[in-house]
Amino acid sequence: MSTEATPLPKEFLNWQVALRLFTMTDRNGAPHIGVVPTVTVKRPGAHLGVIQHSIVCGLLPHPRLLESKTNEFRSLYEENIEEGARAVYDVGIQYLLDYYDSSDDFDPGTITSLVPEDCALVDALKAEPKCTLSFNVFATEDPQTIGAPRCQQLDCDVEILSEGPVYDNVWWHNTLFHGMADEHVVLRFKHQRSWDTRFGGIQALRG
Amino acid sequence: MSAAPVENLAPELALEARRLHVRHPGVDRDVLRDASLKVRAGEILALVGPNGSGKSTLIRALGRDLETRKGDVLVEGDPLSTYPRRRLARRVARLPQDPQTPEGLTVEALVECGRHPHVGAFGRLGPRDQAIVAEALEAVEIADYRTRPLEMLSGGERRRAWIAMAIAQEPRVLLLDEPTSALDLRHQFELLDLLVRLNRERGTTIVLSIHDLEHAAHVADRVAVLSRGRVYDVGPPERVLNEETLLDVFRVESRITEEEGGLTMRILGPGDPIRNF
Amino acid sequence: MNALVWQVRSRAELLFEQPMAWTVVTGLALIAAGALATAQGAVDLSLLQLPASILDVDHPFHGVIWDVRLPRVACGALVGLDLALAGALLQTTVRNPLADPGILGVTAGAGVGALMVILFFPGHGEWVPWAGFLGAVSTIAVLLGLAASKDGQTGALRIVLSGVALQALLFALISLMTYVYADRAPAFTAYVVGSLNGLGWTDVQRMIPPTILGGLAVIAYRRTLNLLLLDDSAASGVGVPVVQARLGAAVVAALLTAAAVSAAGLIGFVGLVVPNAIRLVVGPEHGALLPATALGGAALVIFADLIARTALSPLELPVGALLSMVGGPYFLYLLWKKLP
Repeated sequence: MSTEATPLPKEFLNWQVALRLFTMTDRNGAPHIGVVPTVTVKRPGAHLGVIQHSIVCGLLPHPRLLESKTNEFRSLYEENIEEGARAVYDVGIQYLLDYYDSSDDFDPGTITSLVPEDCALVDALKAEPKCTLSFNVFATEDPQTIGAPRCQQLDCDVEILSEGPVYDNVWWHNTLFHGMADEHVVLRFKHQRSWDTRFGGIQALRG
Repeated sequence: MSAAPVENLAPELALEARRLHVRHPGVDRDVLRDASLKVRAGEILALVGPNGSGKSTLIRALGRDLETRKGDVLVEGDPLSTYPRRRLARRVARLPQDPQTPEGLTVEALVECGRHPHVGAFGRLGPRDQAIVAEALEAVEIADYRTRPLEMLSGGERRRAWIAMAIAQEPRVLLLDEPTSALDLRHQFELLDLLVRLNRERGTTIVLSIHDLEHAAHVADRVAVLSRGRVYDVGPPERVLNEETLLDVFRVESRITEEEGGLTMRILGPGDPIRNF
Repeated sequence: MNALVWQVRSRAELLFEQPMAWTVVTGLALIAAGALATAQGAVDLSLLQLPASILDVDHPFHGVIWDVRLPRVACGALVGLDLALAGALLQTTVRNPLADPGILGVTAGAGVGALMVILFFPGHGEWVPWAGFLGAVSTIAVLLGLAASKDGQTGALRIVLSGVALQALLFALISLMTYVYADRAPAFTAYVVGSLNGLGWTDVQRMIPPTILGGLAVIAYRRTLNLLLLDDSAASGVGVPVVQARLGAAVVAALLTAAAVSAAGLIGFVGLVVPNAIRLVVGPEHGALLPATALGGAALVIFADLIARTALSPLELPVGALLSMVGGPYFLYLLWKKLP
């Protein structure tokens, strides 16, 4: 089943890009709560009929840039790995400072995540490849850079990938910072529609 | 007569691990994930890292005590796979972490085992071999115990007997897996001093894994920090053992000051890593 | 216990400067046992008359001595030597003092091989030791496969249990064959228990080649055997091809076991008692252990056979039964000491 993705709200994407740049400059890459959504998936027999997991998610480069970005991740790793994992990490951070520049560089409808093959979330998604991603940020340290508190809910169709260009991109991105992962799969969340609520509410209606 | 083989030219790198992926038999996950390390000839290199980081595994892989799934180990520039057993044993000697000693084996008999790579299955131990055995016993200072069964020795003395066996192999490289574990403080220092002496007097390259970071800083020319199966960083102790590394890898907050003769580390408590490593 | 043994040993070392001294001691024991055994029996001689009876063709007991007694004693010596060495080799191979060809089922395996030839190729007695060898080697292969563990150290319990299981299986096979061929049964009962009765110079001749082969192998590889005492990691660290070496030692043990079994049947416990006893005073170093073990084993079997022949005279007990009565309790004692 291969549905087309509906573009994410532009403002959400801009927010994600700004947030990620912030984590590189100010947090040395440590994920901010704004990139750790909760995934809700239906599962028969579960309490209330659903299970929920938190995942760290990423953005996928725009299709025109996908292959070159993957190659850049890969060469950064290969060139520096013999100096040690810390060297690779630091080089990766430096690279990402330019990577998160504009939301136009990213696929408008996709969110990605790398998870172990062998977990309840993947099992539930194999049975029912749809989910809701909930982003909840209630407090911000730096409203100038990353804006006001917000909650965002995105309904998505999910693809589970173990190979291919999308897998490679996410895998090499992860490898730069966490080393080579084995027995992991990439979840590709294709946005279908969003339910957008924010504190201070009216903006939701402003499209 | 043809010219003598070029074997004697000391290469710059005693050992090199290149992109090693190692897993223990029967286990699904890699213990070492893409680990690379260069060991320079004549140096003392200490491997440090938390439990499960792969220190033991890396040392064992360097000595061909473990199979590597991917990647290469080079000994003096040549791949491990090209070394026949005894030739490797003449270059590299191992001290395993907890060697089992058979009952009744004497110190002397154990150290004589170290001559096997030179003497072979059928050879006799000649006067030169006996001299090397005696000298190895002297070097570790247990010559007085030569006829004593190993189980009659204390832990530290037994460890030294095993080191004497390794020395008797006349190796260029000594690989020691946690040689100071289970020893009391004084014996830890004596053992480290012994290793430094071996390095200075004989030029033996020494690679050891060790828990205590201050000891590592004190004894090593370079330190390699391992974390989760990868080499996090490698270099001189003053550069590598810093507060950031302790936070990222060991997850403790610390205050480290450089003083004459070494580093002083004060561990302040648990901390949050800087890098989401 | 260890401290006491060490005291005894250090005093013994004062008296006996070299471990070789124990070889001399066991050698003397062998000569004494041999002399006694040749002299005593259904027909009794005094020791003074012994040389004359052997050398003087006209001596009244010359025939008995030469045709019955001497070959029996010689066989006993070879059987004891072979089994004791086999036991020592197996103990080194599995790195466990509880190993012995009998316990591990190797003698039973050799017995199956030997019986097959005796039953199906009765005219070819000279094949018996080699068929026994095949049986013993197969048993060892299965045993090492069953009992091997990942770190190269075979646990005491595991090896013993695997051996017991194999032994049960093989004995069942032997019982089946004995039952089906009951018409030839009388020979088997003695064979299964182990006896030196009726052995002659041909049997001695048949035992000599494998014994010499095994003995030479053992002498040549004694240094490697010492190295096998270390765990696999340490031994391979000094360049020993551990797997091949252990297999080689096991194969030689099979050869020696087969040689003994082909002549005397399923004698057990020699390989357990003698090496452990000698190791207690000499230590595990094979250059000293093996000669003393070989001579001690020979002496033990000769002496046991002497008692078996004379204790309940004129009834002759099979020597295997006597050795089991001594060896069984000793095995239990070792088991109790070694297992947690």
